[in-house]
Amino acid sequence: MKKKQEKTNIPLNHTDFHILVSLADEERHGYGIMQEVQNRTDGSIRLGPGTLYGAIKRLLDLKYIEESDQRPDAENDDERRRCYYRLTGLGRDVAILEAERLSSVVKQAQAKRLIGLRALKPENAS
Amino acid sequence: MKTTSIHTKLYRCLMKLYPYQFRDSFGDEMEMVFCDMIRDRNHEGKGKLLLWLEIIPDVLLSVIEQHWNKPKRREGKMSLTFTSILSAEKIGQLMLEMAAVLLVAALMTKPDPVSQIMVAVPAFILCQIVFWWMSKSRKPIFRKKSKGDSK
Repeated sequence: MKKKQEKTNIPLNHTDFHILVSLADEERHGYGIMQEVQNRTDGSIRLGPGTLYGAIKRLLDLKYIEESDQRPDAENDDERRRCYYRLTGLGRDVAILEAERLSSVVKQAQAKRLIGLRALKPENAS
Repeated sequence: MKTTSIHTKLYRCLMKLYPYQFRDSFGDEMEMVFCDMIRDRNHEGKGKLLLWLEIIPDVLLSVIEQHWNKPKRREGKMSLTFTSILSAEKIGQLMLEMAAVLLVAALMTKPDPVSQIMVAVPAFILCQIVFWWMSKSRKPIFRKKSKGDSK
């Protein structure tokens, strides 16, 4: 039943997937998620506050993430009360399934010699 | 410091476009994130106009998404309800306002995007404030009617 529910939501929206990936190693607040995604993707994905919290709301509704009472980065926080988010067990399972799906797509592309083609092109030309 | 507060006030005005439930749940956090973005821009010495060019499309798209999803989440499978018609009407109104404001901005200003944005953004916010005030002034009439009905 759980597997069925997970499968219906896959493939994930790429914003949702990036948020799940950013929460995979530690609990983060909204701005922390935004910065992590931006740094990890070399600035190619920049989430605005509306997109970010729209996705967070969706992921909370689906129970893929939950609010955390702990404040792991409390030393760096100012006086404002920030809400931290963490992955749930279901969210981790969904992220793993989506990562495996994407990995298989990458393998298919590798088999068709689509990956690394840019590096090979100059050699082929010479 | 003063400019930051002006930017925050503007963002607060834009946040009024979101459905109440969404704003109630995430409004404070969104404002904090926006303030962090402004602070980082100040540290990097980058202009805030570029930030607004990122923020405005983000707000518009997410406002439409949140209004679109609102009735489905409230009423489960019932998608075509009175509230969904209302939200569709609001989206239509928003799109019309945007089109009108951009048209006026394009006609009134020099053909460079910066001055057009400088006219379009305040005009759009002004439109929102007027519509918000109009909708607020309508509410007591509906309330009176419902009280009368219950009596």
